[in-house]
Amino acid sequence: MKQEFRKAEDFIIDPCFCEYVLQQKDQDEFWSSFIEHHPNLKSEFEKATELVLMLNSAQKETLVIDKQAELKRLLHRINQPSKLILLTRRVSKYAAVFIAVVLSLFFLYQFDAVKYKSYSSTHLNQSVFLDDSTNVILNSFSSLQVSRFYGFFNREVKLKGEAFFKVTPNPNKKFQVKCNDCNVTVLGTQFNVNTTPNHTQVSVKEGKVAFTSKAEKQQQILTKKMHASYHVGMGMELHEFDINAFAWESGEFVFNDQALPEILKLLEAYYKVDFQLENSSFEAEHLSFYVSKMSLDEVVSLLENLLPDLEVERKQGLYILN
Amino acid sequence: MAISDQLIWNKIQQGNQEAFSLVFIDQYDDLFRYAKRFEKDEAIIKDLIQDLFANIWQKRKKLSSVDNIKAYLYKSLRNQILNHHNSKRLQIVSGNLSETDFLFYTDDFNQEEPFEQQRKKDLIQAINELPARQREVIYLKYFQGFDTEEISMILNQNNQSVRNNLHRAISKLRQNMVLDVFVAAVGVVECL
Repeated sequence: MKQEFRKAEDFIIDPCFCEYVLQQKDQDEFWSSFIEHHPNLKSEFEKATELVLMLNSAQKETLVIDKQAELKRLLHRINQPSKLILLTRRVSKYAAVFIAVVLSLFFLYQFDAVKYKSYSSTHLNQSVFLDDSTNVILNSFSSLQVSRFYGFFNREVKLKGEAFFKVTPNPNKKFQVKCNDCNVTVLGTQFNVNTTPNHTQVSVKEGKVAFTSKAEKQQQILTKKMHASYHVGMGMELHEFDINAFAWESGEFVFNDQALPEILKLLEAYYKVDFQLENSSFEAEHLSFYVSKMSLDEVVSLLENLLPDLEVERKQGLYILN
Repeated sequence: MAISDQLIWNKIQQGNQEAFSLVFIDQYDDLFRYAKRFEKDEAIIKDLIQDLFANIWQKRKKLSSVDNIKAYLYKSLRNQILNHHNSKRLQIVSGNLSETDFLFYTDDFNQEEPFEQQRKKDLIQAINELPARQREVIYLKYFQGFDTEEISMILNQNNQSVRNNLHRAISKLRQNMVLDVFVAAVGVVECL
């Protein structure tokens, strides 16, 4: 005997044994004599017989496939001159996923949150630099939306509130500010846009600007030191240039015989504080002076010097004038 | 068998499409059944088998001689399926097989044989508790009738490790099945 038999698996592994079991050769003397000589292995022998019979009762599942059609497909394929790799079914899955992704991106693009990048300022000014180094300074409580494709085809932003723009010149890509009712289109210049619902004002510091209303398609070309406004229902109007139009951003004020309440309002916009006039007798006061980037304390002491009766009291960001 | 296989292969290499078609029709069902054990999508299996034969035809002149066509086809198809899976799953599974491959089902064994149905269920359960690699060996041996030499070629392992795997698998099967009977007996005693 070339192999030792101790356990069922030893029998099952042996091809001669399997043959013996499957063909039921009772006359196979080797195995009958083997059992007679090894009665202690009888139970293992029987177990092995059972397992072999069971494993060999394995049956093949029935298939319903048109083999001839598959053969035809194969022959058609190999007889074609081109080396077309058959991936249609597998590729179609990826194609479906790809289309779904494109569709969902398109769908998402309908939302402003995806289409635009937003900046908004709190009570302080915020300076925003766009990709082409155009600088936008947002006044308090204003917001700016910049298209995700800014700079690809054109340069487009949306504004709510007030902002001063220093646009980097680029004759190929116009820069456009979209407001509720108006558009402001430029190539490269510095200008101020102030929007409130139904009212838009544009002041130009440098260069040339096209100011267009959406409803009437009214257009006004503005150049240096021009100021125009648009009121829904009233149309567009040219105004005298306000020398302090950029003061909220630049901190340069020129007051020429101006009433104190107006002066205080402009100062509030730059210094981000609130002034309160307690004594109404000051409301009639007219002052002339020039301020250039002074600190708030300097401005307050200047006011106190100009108006000897005035006393300024400070209470948590609120300045009370007595 | 081996000689006729070599003859057929030579004919295919010479560009004989009749011999090629004959092999395709002859082996298609078994290849499909084998593939079905690790790929559930029948459309993908059809494509993979198409690719397998188309590749053989395309490269027929460069291929070395084959003396066992069936084992050769199984080996190639197996590699193709595993490549397809690896590219899809992007993860390495033990021995390239996933543990859900080669599971057995009650229909797999002939219901009319003179054995208790329970005994067969025990066997299937015991088989399904084996590692996938051992299940594959059992499948190739008893469902497709390969001998250990052919299996070692298909799985790209040496003959001895295939034998060891088979031995280990059957040893575990025997233990599990005996154990089940034992547990059943204990259960009866406890009831009494």
